[in-house]
Amino acid sequence: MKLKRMPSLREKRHYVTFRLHSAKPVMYSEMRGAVLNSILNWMGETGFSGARCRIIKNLWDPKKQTGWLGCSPRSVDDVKISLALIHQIGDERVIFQVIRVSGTVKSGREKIFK
Amino acid sequence: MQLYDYCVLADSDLAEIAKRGALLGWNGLCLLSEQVAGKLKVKNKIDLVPGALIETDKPNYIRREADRKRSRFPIIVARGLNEDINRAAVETPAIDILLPAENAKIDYVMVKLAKKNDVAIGFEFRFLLQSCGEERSRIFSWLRETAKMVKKFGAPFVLTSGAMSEWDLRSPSELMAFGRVLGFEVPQIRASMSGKMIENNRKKLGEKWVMPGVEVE
Repeated sequence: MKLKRMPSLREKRHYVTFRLHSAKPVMYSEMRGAVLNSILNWMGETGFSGARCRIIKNLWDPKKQTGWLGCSPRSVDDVKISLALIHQIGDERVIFQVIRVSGTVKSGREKIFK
Repeated sequence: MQLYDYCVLADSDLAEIAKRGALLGWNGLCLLSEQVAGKLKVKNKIDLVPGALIETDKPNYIRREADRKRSRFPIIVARGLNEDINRAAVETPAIDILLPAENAKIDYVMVKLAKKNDVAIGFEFRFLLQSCGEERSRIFSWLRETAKMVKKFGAPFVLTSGAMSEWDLRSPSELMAFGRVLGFEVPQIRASMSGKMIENNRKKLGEKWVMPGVEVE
C-alpha cells in the first residue's frame, strides 16, 4: 500500500544544478559519496536530516559532468558551501560549481539550456 | 556587474588560473604576483589585475612598503600575521585589503580604524577549504565573530577564495553563499566583490588624477 502525504504538509524543494570541474571524468558513485559526506560534515546529522538532500541519479550527465541535487530551500546556502568545500575525489583535484538554483527541474533545465 | 576575486595568491600557471577563473564566472582576478602578462587578458577574456602582497612581522615596515608599491599596483594587500601587523595595516590608508591570518584576531578598535582608513577586511574561503573537523569549526567561529564586528561598524570587507592554485578557486555563487552564512546581506556581498575598488585605484594611478574630486581634463 502506498502511503499518502497531505498536500498541505508537503515541503517545498529547491534544485541545485552543479558542474564538476576535474582533470579526468569522475564516476557518479564517487561524486555521490563525496557530496553526501561533505554535506554531512558541514551540516551535521541534524542539519542533514532537515535539509532532505537527494542527488538525482538519472539527471547526472557523465559527459558534461553536471548533476542535480534536491534540498529544502532553507539549506541551499549550506549545500552550496558543502559543495565548495569538496576539493578532492579520490586522487583527483575537483571544483564544484553551482550553475543554478531552481524551484523545479523543468524550469532549471529551461534556464540552463537557454 | 563585474565580479572580481581580489586575492588569488597563486604564483604559477597564470594561464590555467585565468582560464579556470573565466570558466567559473569571474570577470576579473587580482593576482598577488608580479608576473601578470597583458596577453592573458585578451586570450581568456578576463581582467587580470596585478596586486602586491606585503607579508612581514615588522609593523613599521608595512607603511613604508605600502607607500613604495602604491604607484605601481592597483591593489595592495597586507597579510596580518599577528595583532600588531593587523593594527599597523588598518592604520595605513595606502593598504587596500587586510588578510588576517588564522591566529591573528581583530578587535572592534581595528574594525573602526579599518572603516576610517577605508581598509577592507578580507575573508578567505581557503581557511575552510584546507581544514577539517574541529579546526574548521574553530576557524569558522573566528570568521563569524569578525564578520559580526565588520557588519556592526559598517567597515569595508572583501570575500575571496585566497586560492593558492587553480583548484582552490571557487565561483562567485559559492562565495556569495559563504558571505550569507557569515551573516552579510546580498547587496553588501555583491558590493564587496564588485570591481569598484580596482576601478577607483586605477583612476588614481592614471595621469589625470590629482586628488579626490580634482582631475585634469
